[in-house]
Amino acid sequence: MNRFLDERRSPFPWVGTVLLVTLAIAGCGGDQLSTAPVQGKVLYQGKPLQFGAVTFQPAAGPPASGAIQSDGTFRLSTYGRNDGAILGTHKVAVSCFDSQRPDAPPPDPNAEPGLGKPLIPQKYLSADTSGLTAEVKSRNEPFEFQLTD
Amino acid sequence: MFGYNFARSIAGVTDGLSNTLAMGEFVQKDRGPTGPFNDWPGNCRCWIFGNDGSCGNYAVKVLVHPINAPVDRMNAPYVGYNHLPMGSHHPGGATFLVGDGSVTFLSENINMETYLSLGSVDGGENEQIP
Repeated sequence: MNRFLDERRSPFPWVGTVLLVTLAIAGCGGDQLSTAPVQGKVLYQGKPLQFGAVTFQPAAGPPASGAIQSDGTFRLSTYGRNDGAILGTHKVAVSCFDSQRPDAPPPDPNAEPGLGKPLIPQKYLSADTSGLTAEVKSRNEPFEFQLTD
Repeated sequence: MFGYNFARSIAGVTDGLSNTLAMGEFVQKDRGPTGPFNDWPGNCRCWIFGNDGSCGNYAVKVLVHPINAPVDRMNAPYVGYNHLPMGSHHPGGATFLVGDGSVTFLSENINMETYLSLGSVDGGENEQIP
């Protein structure tokens, strides 16, 4: 009963509605999914990769990524630095090209820009073909990915 | 799509001009504990500059990290300038120029496979702008 009375009394019954819609559209961060910290290590032929990147691709929602450090370890970020990945199952891709080497020389300015030599098999570059998956839970042990030929 | 002293023909874009990104927004700052690029304008370099061949081509990006990914150039693990992610000040994604001249907004939730495929001119992936 009160609800109807209030509506009739308000000179601008639609103001609240419009504001809510605006907030929903403009709201950055309000629709962020839960993430959990993810760290791990990538090895190829038993040895840690020294550079490159790891990407976690969920079935839906934002992918997470992180650069590989010189000891092969990585930490993922989605919305903020080192916040991890969203919860759920991810397909994993790893990239490791000469051009990602921290001391890589600038690319030849007179040639078609390229990634340089891949240092791992091609299939790992795509989350669809890598065969690597990861289940991200609210708490995660470090992941380890062993890449082979 | 582009290079420094390098030209590509339309016929060379075998994935199709409508399925290939040409340019995109790039706004990025570091978020790590320290570093000279933690404040705006963040990591930015000129699009066009004279070059004797000793400098890299800063206007060309390699798509490795998702759109707006919070990775750093000056805080470990270091990401090279040309490998920093595309990004923008508006929430949710970034705007891209497509090879056919159209402009599209890509969500930062875009599947990475789709995104990387749109970045290649001749990958043969048959991906389309979502």
